[in-house]
Amino acid sequence: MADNRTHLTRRTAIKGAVALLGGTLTTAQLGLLGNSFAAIAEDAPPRFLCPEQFTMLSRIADLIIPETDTAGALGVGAPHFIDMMLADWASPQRQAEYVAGLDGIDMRARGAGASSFSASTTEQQMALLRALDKEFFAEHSTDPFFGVLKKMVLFAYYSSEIGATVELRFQRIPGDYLPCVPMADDSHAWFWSQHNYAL
Amino acid sequence: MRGFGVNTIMPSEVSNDFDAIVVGSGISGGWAAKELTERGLKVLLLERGRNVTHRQDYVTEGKAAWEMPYAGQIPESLTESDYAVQNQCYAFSDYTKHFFVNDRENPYATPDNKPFSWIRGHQLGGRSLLWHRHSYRLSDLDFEANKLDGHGADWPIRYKDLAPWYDHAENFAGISGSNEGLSQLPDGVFQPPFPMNCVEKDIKKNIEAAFSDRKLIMGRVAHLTEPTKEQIALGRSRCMNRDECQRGCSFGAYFSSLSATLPAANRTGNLTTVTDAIVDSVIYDSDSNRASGVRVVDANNHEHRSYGARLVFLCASTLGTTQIMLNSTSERFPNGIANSSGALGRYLMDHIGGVGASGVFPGHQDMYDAGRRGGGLYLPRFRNVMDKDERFLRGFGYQGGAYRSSWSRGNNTPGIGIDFKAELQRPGPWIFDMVGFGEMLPDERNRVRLSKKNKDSWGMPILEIDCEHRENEFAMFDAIAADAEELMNAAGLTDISVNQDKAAPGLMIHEMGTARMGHDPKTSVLNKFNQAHDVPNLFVTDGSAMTSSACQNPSLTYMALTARAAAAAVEMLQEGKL
Ligand SMILES: Cc1cc2nc3c(=O)[nH]c(=O)nc-3n(C[C@H](O)[C@H](O)[C@H](O)COP(=O)(O)OP(=O)(O)OC[C@H]3O[C@@H](n4cnc5c(N)ncnc54)[C@H](O)[C@@H]3O)c2cc1C
Repeated sequence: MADNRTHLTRRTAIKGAVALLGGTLTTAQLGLLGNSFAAIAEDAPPRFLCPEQFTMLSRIADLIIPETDTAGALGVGAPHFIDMMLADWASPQRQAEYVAGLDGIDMRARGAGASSFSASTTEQQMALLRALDKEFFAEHSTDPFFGVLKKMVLFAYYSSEIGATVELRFQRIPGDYLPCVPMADDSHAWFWSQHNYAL
Repeated sequence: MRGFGVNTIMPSEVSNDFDAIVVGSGISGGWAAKELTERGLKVLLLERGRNVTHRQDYVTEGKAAWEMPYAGQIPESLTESDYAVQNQCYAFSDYTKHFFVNDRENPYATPDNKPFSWIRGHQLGGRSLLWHRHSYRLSDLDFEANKLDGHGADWPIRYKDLAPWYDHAENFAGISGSNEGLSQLPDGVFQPPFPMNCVEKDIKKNIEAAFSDRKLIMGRVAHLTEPTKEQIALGRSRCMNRDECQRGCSFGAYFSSLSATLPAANRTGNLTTVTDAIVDSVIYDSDSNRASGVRVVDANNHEHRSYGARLVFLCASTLGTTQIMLNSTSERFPNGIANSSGALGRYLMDHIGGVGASGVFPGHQDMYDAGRRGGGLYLPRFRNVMDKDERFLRGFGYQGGAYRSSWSRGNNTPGIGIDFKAELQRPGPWIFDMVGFGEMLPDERNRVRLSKKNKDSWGMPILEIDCEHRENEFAMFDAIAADAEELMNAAGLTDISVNQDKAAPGLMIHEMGTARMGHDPKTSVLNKFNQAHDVPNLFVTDGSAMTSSACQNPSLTYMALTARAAAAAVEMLQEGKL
């Protein structure tokens, strides 16, 4: 109910405002452009990570944000996005951190008797990631990498079109600020694009 | 674009006979251009940065994260090499970086262990494109402070001198907010305030019940909520609650030079704008004891030229203006034009900030909000208002707000997998946070000079900025933290955390004071009309004129001072006094 009302006022407000501007808003500003996030083909080879580490990254991303009734990290192309970020966005130190960090996770899997992280069972992989997550949040955590990686996976997933608009909710031009809206059982959180969000 | 655009012209077409030159097109310069052209003066507006066309050049406006090259992140190496200082600003991101300066190309120096974060925007519109739009009046508590406690010179004006100009500025700029009847934060001409959400209303009630001297109010912000006819005629319309203002706003819903003052100046037919024109110095004519014009370096081809006018308004931002003045030397003024007092470059202030607190509000779990409100709340100053605080002089206020956290709380929450994802899909806890903005005392030792060794690539000596917090600021930082914690408790919050990270000077982006106003030509640069004591046709109306910093966000005061100075200057010109 409440959401319907939001929608209506919003539409009217935007139409009015756009008319007032004499149609000078471009389609880009009104957000009628297509999706440019997942421009990479699903089976394209990774550009930064080696194939083994890319497989590992894909597995980890999938376990952190799995597919449920909505797409998961794999469904939005998070592994390719992260690989692109490592190739084009990351500093040399950051790149080294990922290579060493993924290596470290692989070593832990081997230490537990597997031939590699990727060759472990889903249960083993999940147990290891849960342990790493717990260690990261422990008071005297020494290895920040799992936190860095998890943050990147979350960023990749929720910054994608599906993450922002299907998993969460997204309003390009809200129109109004509605200060107190009753929540329904299935209300999703709003997507906010954040200023100066440090990865 | 039907007369809303700004006409920029090529330098070769510019003639020399202007009534006035305005240097800088940010908040102050835009106002100077508007007020002077509306009074019939032919004005040349000189801006060192590139031209920015309203709407057309807001290249990231409305873009969602997935429509940006790195989902809104700037390549790390580029940040490090080119934006090491600007990146400290909360508003700096890939969506906004084209409105911030490149630090590598715009160097300045600071002593070891005394950082100063100089956050700048060099383009048509200056930082009016980037500001957060909080707009508060100063009161006599502020205008009398220097005189009463002896720090800094006495302001040569009082609230009654500026009050009508605050009215004028608010009326034209469009400020939304509420009248509250507070002596320390005078009421004004406001459009309807943004609404508070349920949590904010509760917190307001709780805080005001616990402290009779404190009020939590909706911030007064330069967003149109009910545009006037004049604003609509300028092509502006009401705020759409995107909270992406710093990318530029095609609705013209927030005040900027591009949405408001420059279109107003332009429609008079009296404005000529030249961008990419770096003013290097003011030309001083000793025979007439007047500023006869300015020298300019072309930002692109580095060629020198000069322009003449009967009146010069310096509005290049506090430190930009100070740099120009220090660099304007002559036999009469070996240490910078209009600097017989030696006050030029001294008494640099910023606000103190960074310190604050946040907590979780336990109620209203079944409610959330919709839309992204561009302005938050304000808790006006309460220390040293009625009672004297023994720990420090002057005061501070807070900005804050309540919001339901979203997916990014996952970064700080243990968990992975199906349940974790399901949890992050729902609105998170209500968070309330607030951050202090405190007054910094004017201190002679906080100063800027021109480097004797280093010049920028346009041949201008770079600034050396030597500024630090001192005893009073440190005592105030402690009080900001302690009071924030106490307020959080009274507000009924849990999981309270106090942030003790003090922002480096500069980072509150309210730098001011380096060409201060005062009664006495021996100790101040400007008189009560922002007119240089030494050079009658030279006016300085940006933050450098500020005699004290108060604790309110200052730009509204720059607007009012500029409009007032412009009116006075035109009157003096007409009376033949200039
Ligand atoms: C992220 C952010 C948030 C802010 N929030 C607030 C807020 O909420 N409230 C508030 O009151 N203030 C706020 N501010 C501060 C506000 O932006 C400034 O106080 C205001 O813009 C100052 O106006 P100005 O005209 O003096 O300077 P500017 O707006 O900086 O404009 C100066 C102009 O002069 C030009 N210039 C400089 N040197 C030269 C030269 N040599 N020759 C020619 N041109 C030159 C510059 O390129 C620039 O365009 C904020 C600033 C930022 C960056």
